[in-house]
Amino acid sequence: MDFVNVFVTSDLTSSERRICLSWTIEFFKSRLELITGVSTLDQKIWIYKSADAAEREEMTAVGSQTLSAYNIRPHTRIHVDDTNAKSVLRELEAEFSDDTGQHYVMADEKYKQRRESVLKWKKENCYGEFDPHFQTRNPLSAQEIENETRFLKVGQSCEVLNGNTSKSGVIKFVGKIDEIDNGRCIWVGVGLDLPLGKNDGSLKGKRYFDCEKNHGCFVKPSKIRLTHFDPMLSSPNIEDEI
Amino acid sequence: MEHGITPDGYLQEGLTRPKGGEEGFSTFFAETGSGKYVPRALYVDLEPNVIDEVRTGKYKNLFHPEQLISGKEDAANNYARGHYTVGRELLDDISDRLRKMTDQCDGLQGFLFTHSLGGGTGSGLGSLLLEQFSNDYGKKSKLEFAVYPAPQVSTSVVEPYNTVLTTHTTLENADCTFMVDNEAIYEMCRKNLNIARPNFNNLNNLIAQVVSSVTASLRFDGSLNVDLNEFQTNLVPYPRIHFPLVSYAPVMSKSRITHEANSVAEITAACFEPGNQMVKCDPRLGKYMATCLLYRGDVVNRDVQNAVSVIKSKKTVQLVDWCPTGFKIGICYQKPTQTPESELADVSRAVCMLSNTTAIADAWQKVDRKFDLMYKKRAFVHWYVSEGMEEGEFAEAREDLAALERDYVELGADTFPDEEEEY
Repeated sequence: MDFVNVFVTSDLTSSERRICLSWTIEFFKSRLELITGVSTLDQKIWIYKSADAAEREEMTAVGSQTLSAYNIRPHTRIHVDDTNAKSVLRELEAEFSDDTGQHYVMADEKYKQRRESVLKWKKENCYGEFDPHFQTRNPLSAQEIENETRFLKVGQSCEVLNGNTSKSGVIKFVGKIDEIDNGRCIWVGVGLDLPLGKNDGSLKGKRYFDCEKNHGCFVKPSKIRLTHFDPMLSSPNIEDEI
Repeated sequence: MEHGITPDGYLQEGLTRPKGGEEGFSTFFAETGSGKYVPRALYVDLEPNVIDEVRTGKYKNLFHPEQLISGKEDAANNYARGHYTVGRELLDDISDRLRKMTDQCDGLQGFLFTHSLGGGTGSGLGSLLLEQFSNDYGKKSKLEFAVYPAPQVSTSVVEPYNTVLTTHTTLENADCTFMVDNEAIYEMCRKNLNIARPNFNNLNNLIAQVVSSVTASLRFDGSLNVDLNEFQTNLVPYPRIHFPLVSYAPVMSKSRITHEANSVAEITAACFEPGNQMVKCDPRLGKYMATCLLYRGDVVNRDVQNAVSVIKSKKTVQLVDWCPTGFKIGICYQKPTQTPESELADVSRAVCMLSNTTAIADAWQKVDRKFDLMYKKRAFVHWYVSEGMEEGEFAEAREDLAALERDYVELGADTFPDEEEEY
């Protein structure tokens, strides 16, 4: 039998398929519908002269004629266009490429009721957040807190680093914040010069410092670079990094 | 070929026993009375064309005709045809022949499935067989190599349906599923092997290397030969989360190989590059639950330990908090073998990485989203209903996948606010 492997493409699909040159056009079209979703009535079929060439020929033969009427060689590309502007495919194509669309996500309640789930398994085995020691695991030692914050003092000018960009401001707060992580880490509150922050110095109703709306932000000490550096406070370690 | 077997099933001239020894070799081959070796494999398809090629091709004498099973009518990209109507007709036949084959095994360890998720036969019949095997063989382990839909372009318009349906059906029945996506492998062929228009042969050559690496420990000896079962225990912390990401290195063309050293450190690092992954996703955004590195060829443990410690120090490799598993290492001394027509360069060492990472959930999100958009319009659903499938199965499958997505979120959930975050 004269089977050849060809590439079948459409706006939504692309695949390598095996076709038989003794197939009738009618049969071939019904196959193409199952692959591409384009209804046999709306198919406009192009046979490309070679895999990479733009040159192509439209398949105009109909019904009981066979594919052998065309010069289809191994790895020829056959493209199917949808002539129906209102087809469901056209709608899907637009929706697929729109990244903003939401997809179905299971609600918390429903997930909790599942017979088998990672959540249940974690609970049963006391993993992660269900580990009684989870919250207290790896707390920062007093020494580490001291190391991270000894050079950060309220009132110092600084930059908040974020990737390759930075925002300038003044340190307004250094300490633990229950609203973020139950007081696990040290955070630095910065009053920014420009409204590039996320708050006004308060978090979930609790005020840590005063500044204008959107001028306040809280970040980890590692994101802070002091701009007016006081050499008296510097340590050899820090100088190494500069 | 790796074992020195000719295409007609006999030992290559000059060999008195298969390479790798009878013991390892017999995992995948059975010896007949006449000294011929027959693979312990079944080829199944709903239509005859592809399998006819095996029947008449280079390896026609390797297989017993009973090992090649094909029907008359294909699944037409339709899960329902593969699972219910057309596929079901072949089921008894397949079960019988499989029983004959398993009866010849001294110690049946498990099954290795290779199938696609997007087409009708792979998704429909594949999941039907997995269900059947679970019934017939209970807890014997079932590993899959599954061709997963590429994120951008589908192979068929109903691929999202097929994928969601088959994943739902097999979720409980498969123990470990190694996924490869065509787009990732196409890209590997284009970029690393300089093949302008890769075709199935090129793709299959690459996938074959992965399958070979994963199964090498079952077939050959090595200094740190870790049994496949052990890897599986390591890789799958919770039964539903059994989809490790596969990476392979080096993937290099014959012309480029002379310029590369391919040290253990280099190939190990390459496994963490997205360009060497068999599924497109970004592990830097996810967390690793477990990682196995399967080396083969000229590899010493000390080099591996050094390479691994370099990787561990990288910030982009994040492990989940609750399961601080390290890297499981396997070394098999047999270097990879290339088929003559392969574009892959002959190398003295290679590594295959299997990692269970939460990043792979990305792959489902994309398919689920397409599924939702199509199902909302009930687009093409009638193709399935007309094969006797109930619409409820769509909703049920989608629900299961939604739970799977939540499972992955839950796996990576227990972290303290990240350094990057700002409040």
